[in-house]
Amino acid sequence: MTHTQSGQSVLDRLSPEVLSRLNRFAHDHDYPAGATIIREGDDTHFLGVVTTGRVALRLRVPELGDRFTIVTCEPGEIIGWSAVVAPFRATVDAVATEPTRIVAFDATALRARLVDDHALAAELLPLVLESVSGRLTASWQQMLDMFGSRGPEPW
Amino acid sequence: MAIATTAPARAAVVNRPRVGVVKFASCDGCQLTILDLEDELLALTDRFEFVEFAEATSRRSSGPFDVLFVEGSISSPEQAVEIARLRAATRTLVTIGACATAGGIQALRTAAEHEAFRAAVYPSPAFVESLAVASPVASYVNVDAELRGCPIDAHQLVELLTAVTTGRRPQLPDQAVCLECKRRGLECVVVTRGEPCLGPVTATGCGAICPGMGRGCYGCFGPREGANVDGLARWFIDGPAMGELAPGDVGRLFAGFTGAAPIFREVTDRLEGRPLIQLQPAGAYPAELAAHTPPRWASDARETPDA
Amino acid sequence: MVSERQWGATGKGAAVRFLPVDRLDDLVTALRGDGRRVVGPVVEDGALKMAEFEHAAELPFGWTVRTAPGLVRLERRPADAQNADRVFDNGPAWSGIKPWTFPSRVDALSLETRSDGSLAVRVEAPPATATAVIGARACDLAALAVHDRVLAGGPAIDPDYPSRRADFFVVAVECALATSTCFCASMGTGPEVTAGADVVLSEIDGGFAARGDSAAGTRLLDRLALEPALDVQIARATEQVAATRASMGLGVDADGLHDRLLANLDSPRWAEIAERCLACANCTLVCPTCFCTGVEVASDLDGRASTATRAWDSCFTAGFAQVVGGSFRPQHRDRYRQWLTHKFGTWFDQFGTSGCVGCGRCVAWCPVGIDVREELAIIAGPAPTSTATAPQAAAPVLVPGTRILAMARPAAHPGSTRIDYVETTVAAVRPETADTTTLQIATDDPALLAARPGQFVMIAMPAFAIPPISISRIRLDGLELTIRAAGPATSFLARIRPGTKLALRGPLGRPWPVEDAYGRDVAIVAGGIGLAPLRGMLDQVLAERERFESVRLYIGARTPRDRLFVAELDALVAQGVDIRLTVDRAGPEWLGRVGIITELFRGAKPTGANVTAFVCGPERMMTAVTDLLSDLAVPPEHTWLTLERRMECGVGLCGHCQLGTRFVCRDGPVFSVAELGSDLRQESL
Ligand SMILES: Cc1cc2nc3c(=O)[nH]c(=O)nc-3n(C[C@H](O)[C@H](O)[C@H](O)COP(=O)(O)OP(=O)(O)OC[C@H]3O[C@@H](n4cnc5c(N)ncnc54)[C@H](O)[C@@H]3O)c2cc1C
Ligand code: SF4
Ligand code: SF4
Ligand code: SF4
Ligand code: FES
Repeated sequence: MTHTQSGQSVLDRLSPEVLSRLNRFAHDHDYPAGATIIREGDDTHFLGVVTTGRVALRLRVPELGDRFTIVTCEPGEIIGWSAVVAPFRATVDAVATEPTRIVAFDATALRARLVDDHALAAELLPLVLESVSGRLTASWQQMLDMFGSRGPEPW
Repeated sequence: MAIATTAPARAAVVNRPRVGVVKFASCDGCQLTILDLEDELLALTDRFEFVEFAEATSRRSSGPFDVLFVEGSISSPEQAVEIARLRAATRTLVTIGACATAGGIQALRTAAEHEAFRAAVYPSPAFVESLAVASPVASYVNVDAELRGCPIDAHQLVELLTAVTTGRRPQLPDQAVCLECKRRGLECVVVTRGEPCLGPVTATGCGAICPGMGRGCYGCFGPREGANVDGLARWFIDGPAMGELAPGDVGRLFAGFTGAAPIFREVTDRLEGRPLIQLQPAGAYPAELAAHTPPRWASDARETPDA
Repeated sequence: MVSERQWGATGKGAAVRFLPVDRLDDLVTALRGDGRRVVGPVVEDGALKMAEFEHAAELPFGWTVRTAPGLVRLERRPADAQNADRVFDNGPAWSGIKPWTFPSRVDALSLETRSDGSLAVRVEAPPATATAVIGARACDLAALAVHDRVLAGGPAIDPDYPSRRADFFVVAVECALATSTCFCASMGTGPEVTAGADVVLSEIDGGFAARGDSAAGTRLLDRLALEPALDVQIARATEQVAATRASMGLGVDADGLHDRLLANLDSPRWAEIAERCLACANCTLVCPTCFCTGVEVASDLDGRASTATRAWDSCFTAGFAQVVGGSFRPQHRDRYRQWLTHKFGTWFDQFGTSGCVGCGRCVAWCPVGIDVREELAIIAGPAPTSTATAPQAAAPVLVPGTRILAMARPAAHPGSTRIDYVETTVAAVRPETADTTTLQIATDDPALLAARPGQFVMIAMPAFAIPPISISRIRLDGLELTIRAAGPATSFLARIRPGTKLALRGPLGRPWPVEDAYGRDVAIVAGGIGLAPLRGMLDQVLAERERFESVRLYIGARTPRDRLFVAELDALVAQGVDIRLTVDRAGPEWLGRVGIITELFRGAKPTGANVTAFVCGPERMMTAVTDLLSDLAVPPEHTWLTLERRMECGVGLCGHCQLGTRFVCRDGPVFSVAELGSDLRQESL
């Protein structure tokens, strides 16, 4: 199936001034399919935006023998919000499921910049918050298991 | 509709479902109801293999059971372990009668009543190891269906077995007795005579027998879904259309055959000014029952995608 | 209200006669002589019940009644009292006429698998039994008129009711006693008998003023060869009913009640009533206009033969609004609100009349004495220009000043009022997922073949309940149905073998308005099994592809394994159809998108003005999606949903599927967000 993303990238919603300031510590990272980008529990090294490909956010559940994909990050979406939220530790594994490119903003530099550059903070943080709140409400909906069925009955 | 009594030749029915009937603390009223089903019994035994019937045969079997009817309430630690074992050997476990579904009249044996009752009933009290309370089967194991009543309604039993053979869910209504009362065209005893009746908070299934005989319902089918027991009790005590009823009397109305059902028990205790009693004694829950169930979404996602 | 049928104003040839009390039995005998069973009020267990009787002497001579909320006492009038021996001064019989025209249980459908595997299906209809009822009151007749409208006034007509109603002779009585619970005057239905009777009696000294209100009634009176009534007797009858009207106590302020009530769906009073209300359903079952029924299925032990019985049901039961996953009205509060708002509010939208005729039965027979008159006054408040609650001139049943919101219903679609079943064959079975199967149904029934996407069928099979199932594809040789095993009936269907016979009724309901998307962008949004009802629509959109601008499909599934129609959709993707899919959760092997369906629209711009959206899935998902679509500027009148509600009849006769003013089965299941308005979000409506 196709997975084209028609939507607007987070990057398009930043002003050119803020973008150029961010660009000073931005790097493009490329990952082959299957590469682990962030590991749960590690320090998060960057806040990124997916430009191409797809990243699966996964939780490890050893008793159940495997990892589960909770949500995927699509092009234009933020990945690694824990880079700007204490304790700056990744809450999930992030794995590229396709060849993926991410624009990454170095966590240490970004955090330092956010303290001084209020204009940048005022533009960037609401977008991070939006992404986190989106994932939060999505998780609520997932918990409801709306398409799920009840357990089996004996009849 | 009548159940066809002309059964196909026994040999034609392959794999007759195995049915057991076992009994804990109870009278034998409910089992007798099964034996009373003269018309249907032949057809039933043609289709089902009764592997254990405490009342009818001396055959004993440890299962497995396709359907196991459990009569009576659980009132000793041995029984608690036994019911857990039976549950594991049963596909469809059905409790029958007020005793099994709500503790029944045995549930009177609570707290203070316990000692006196045991002394009065059993010749050698020390011999009877009974729990301080009698509890419904469902407080120990999962129950797939309940046939309520004291005794149970024979038609509900046939309906349940029919449902098992045809693979549908038995229609065991969870509506108030009032619906059946009105469908039968009976006058309401509360309204015409100010007589208290538990019909509005009791599950139908009996066909409104008591109102049909001009009496209030005793609640033997137990509380229905969403039973507003407080609303009813309040009206019996204060309602301008009702006669003089003291709170304690109203409390006792709810202490009948299904008085152990928590929602009934709570009214009784409150109106009689007693402290609430914990029904299931601590420690009586067999460790065998502590099943570990992982969160459902995770176990489902584990299935390998077919992409 | 002066009508042409009044004591003083009877036309020529319909003069008022006098029926001496000792000739009342002649009336009964004459009716019985015509081969009718005769039904009237008789004393039974402390109340008056409409029962069959043989002689006038069985009628309640000398009885009177005292009523109050939750109280009915039948009492002997003291021998020295005025009118001590009168027969009808005791209010309406509690059971009313309803059990005779609309019995509490009737056989509705019988099904049998014959030895050759074919299916015998019979929709039961009773033979007409000639019946005469004596002692019907004005409220009873108003209620009968309401039932005529509800059950036989279309679009669908109940298979049972018309024959019971066909040869039904009514001897009405004008009340000389208003009980404390009567409020017909305020509802505009009585106490004068103005319509619906064959003979009208007014009990006066020594007998009855009697008039024929129909040709048959007049003929009957002619046969009895009665003397004409004296002027003073006619005057007595007229005064008497006027006195009854004047004596009537607490009423309902019917002026604009519909609007006042529906404006108060969030009143805190609902929760207060719920503390008293037992949800016992007595009020609905004694109400002469309540018509809701449920289906009970009984089968033989082999499951080869079964009967479906239609029994009185009530919006106060838990099962009434139950669907997979729970009840739409879990609390007593919700159920009481349904009852009151339906009776006094949405009934107007559905049937153009009030659902209440003011008989007071629900007040007297509520075991905890809840009084609708009181509750309405508190919840709906007074009418803005209300003058007095004192008895006033009777208004017609349709109270003026009431805005009728939705009488302009979408026209009935072909077959959508169907009450008969056709035998069809399962031609092929294709498993979709572990619990979902697509059945290909072969039929040559023209109505079924003319089905349109979005419509549904009711499926009858021996021994099981009769579930509503959407049509997932319309073929030249039949239909496809996609069924998820959610319970017994659907599990049976999901496991069925080719060659099995099924009885289908339909197509029912309103289809997707595909035309609405002509010349526009199409967005199809499906969650879970919700893709099934949308599949036929996708077929149609692709078949007429050039009539639409862009076409996009957004699909949410629970896990990768729960995806429906995988091969089919992959083929469409290969042809360039824009399909976006997400799953709620997945294992590591799944490389596609994970996240809830609304995530598929993340970052989209509000440029949806030219979009027509068709949405189906769980209601929670649909509200989330409609929020999002409205953010994206998709107009609400171009956002279409299909709702799921409990359905037993599928044609607007059983009441289960009500959502405010609507019968989801008949007026929907497809609605636009604009049509649903705030009802989509109203909790537990
Ligand atoms: C308009 C409409 C279209 C539908 N289309 C489809 C479809 O295409 N595919 C599909 O798999 N399912 C569909 N359903 C749902 C389907 O009707 C129910 O899953 C089915 O009735 C369940 O019956 P059961 O005997 O299998 O299970 P039960 O265990 O009897 O019911 C399971 C649950 O469904 C509820 N239910 C039972 N009967 C009905 C009923 N008559 N109407 C609504 N809910 C009911 C019960 O209250 C229970 O909660 C549709 C429902 C509606 C209203
Ligand atoms: S709502 Fe009450 S008063 Fe009105 S018709 Fe029904 S039973 Fe009679
Ligand atoms: S939904 Fe309406 S008609 Fe049906 S039982 Fe309730 S109030 Fe009566
Ligand atoms: S209003 Fe009264 S009669 Fe109606 S359901 Fe509630 S308690 Fe029962
Ligand atoms: S009215 Fe019966 S299903 Fe809608």
